[in-house]
Amino acid sequence: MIIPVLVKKVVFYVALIAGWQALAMVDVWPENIFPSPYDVVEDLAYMASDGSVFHGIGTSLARLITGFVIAAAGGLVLGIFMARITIVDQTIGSLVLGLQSIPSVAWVPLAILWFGLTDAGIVFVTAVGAVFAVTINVSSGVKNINPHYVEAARNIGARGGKMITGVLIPAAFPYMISGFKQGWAFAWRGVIGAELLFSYLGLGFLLNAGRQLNDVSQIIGIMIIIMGIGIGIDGFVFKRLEDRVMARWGLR
Amino acid sequence: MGWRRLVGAKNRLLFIDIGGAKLMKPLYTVVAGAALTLAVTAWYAAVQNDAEEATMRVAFFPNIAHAVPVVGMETGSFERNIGNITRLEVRLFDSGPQAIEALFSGSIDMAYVGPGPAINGFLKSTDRDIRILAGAASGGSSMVAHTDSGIALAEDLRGKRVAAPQISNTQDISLRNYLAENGMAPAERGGSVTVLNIANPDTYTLFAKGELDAAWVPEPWATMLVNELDGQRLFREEEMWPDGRFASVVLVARGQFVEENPTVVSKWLEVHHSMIEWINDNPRDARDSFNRYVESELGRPFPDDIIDESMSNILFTADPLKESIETFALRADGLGYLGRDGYDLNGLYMETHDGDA
Repeated sequence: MIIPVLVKKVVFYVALIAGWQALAMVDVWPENIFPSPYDVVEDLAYMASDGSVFHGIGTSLARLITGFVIAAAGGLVLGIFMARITIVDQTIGSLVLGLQSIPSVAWVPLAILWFGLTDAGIVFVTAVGAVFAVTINVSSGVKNINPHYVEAARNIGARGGKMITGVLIPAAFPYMISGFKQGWAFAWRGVIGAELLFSYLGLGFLLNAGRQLNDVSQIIGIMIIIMGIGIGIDGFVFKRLEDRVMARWGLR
Repeated sequence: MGWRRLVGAKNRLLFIDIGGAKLMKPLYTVVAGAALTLAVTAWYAAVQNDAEEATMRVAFFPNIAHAVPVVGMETGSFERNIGNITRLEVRLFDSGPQAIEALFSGSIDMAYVGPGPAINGFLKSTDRDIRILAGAASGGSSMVAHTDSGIALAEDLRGKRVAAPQISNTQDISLRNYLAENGMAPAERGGSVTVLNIANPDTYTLFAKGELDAAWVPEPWATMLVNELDGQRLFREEEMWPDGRFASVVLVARGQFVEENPTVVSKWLEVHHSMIEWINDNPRDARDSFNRYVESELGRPFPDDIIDESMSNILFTADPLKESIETFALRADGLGYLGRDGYDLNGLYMETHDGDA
């Protein structure tokens, strides 16, 4: 007998939550350190009733989207340049690889000094955390385009802008989608990390507030929301977009 | 050597041979690892024990409202009276919630904090194991507006950026309560006022750069914003309290520590009381001691005139001003800081026979 995946998942999560509740009830750890799932849900309901959780989600998403759009646009331009112009690849390309290895939160001190405690500072951290992942993916996407396409396009007179929008971007699109997906994931980590350190509104601020109020259930509640948004956007937006693109480009 | 022969045969099989170089026999590695772990654990336990037995760890802030512990440490009064019973160790913090975290984790025994963190710590601690032993200061925080902000009335705060120390600290409670009383909400709840919870030195920097419109800060920072950065003192917090008095610093301790070390605690309280008297009688000497301590710990003293003016805004008293603490609890609860189940301050104060605390 084959058990449907959905059933397995439901059983797993029910068991997980029941186990958690049981663990909380046997009082191994004090309640103020290890709250029960009920405490967490209660806390979330409370934060929903005073609106703070919705304002937190709204603020974080607004920063995320702004930062991501900047990163996607920047990564697209930089990636195409890197793929098409050898000297750019050899110089800036190596720097991009280096910068990609810097965790986005490591940009926070610089962002605080450059931008102060502003939205711009957090958006900067978000964008800079995502832009290099997008760049690298776009660049390898463009490099992997069948050279015949480019030659054919050139023969029928495509140059400059026309070449980029008409040939390079469509041909490298599957890679770009993967790049955006990865960039998005980096951006989401960047936003939360930056908010945590800036402690200036958003979900990261609420995490910080939970810590300072010694309110572990608020912390876990916000973490669950962060996870939910991450899964939601990745699964419902990027996964589907990627599947559709892969299917249309005949890659799957 | 019997055990060696016993495991010898098995050992043969456990040899690891990489590139011809025979590594240490894994069995010996395991034994050595276990021995090392044991040694480290034993050493750690010994250190822990030692710390619990012979050391009393006290936390306070290098703020002028904390003059009692600062001056008491600098002049050696605490050391002279308690040093023969226990070793004293000082931890400097910047805000109450940090100190409370340290009390929770058992890494300090006593702390001078504001009433906000004291209440929060008491209610959130396991078995409510935090006690207020005495008051240390009343008053000493102000709302200061930036000259360019155009803030003169509470109404003007709409759309502005206002700083306070950490969330749930005493000034933070006062600021958010003030906003609520004037019909405003903080931005994280969809309101118009952005409350920035930042450390006092950062508030000073941001204020200087013009990135803050106002700040609700303790002394000496309030006076520094006024004298050095041309800020406008809108009001002193004590002006908003009955009799102009409210608890701003109290002495708290872990209940378990108090029970286990009654002599140390009562000695500490003796010095605490005499320090308050001495500071009130000798404000100039107290200022000099305070600044010497700050210079040795933080590298740079505060200007003398700043400290003098700050001290004129603070009343040093051992009275914990319980009514003001109840008001703080009410306000903190109104802000959702005290959990969802209501609160009960029963047992917050250490029981004493002379009704001291």
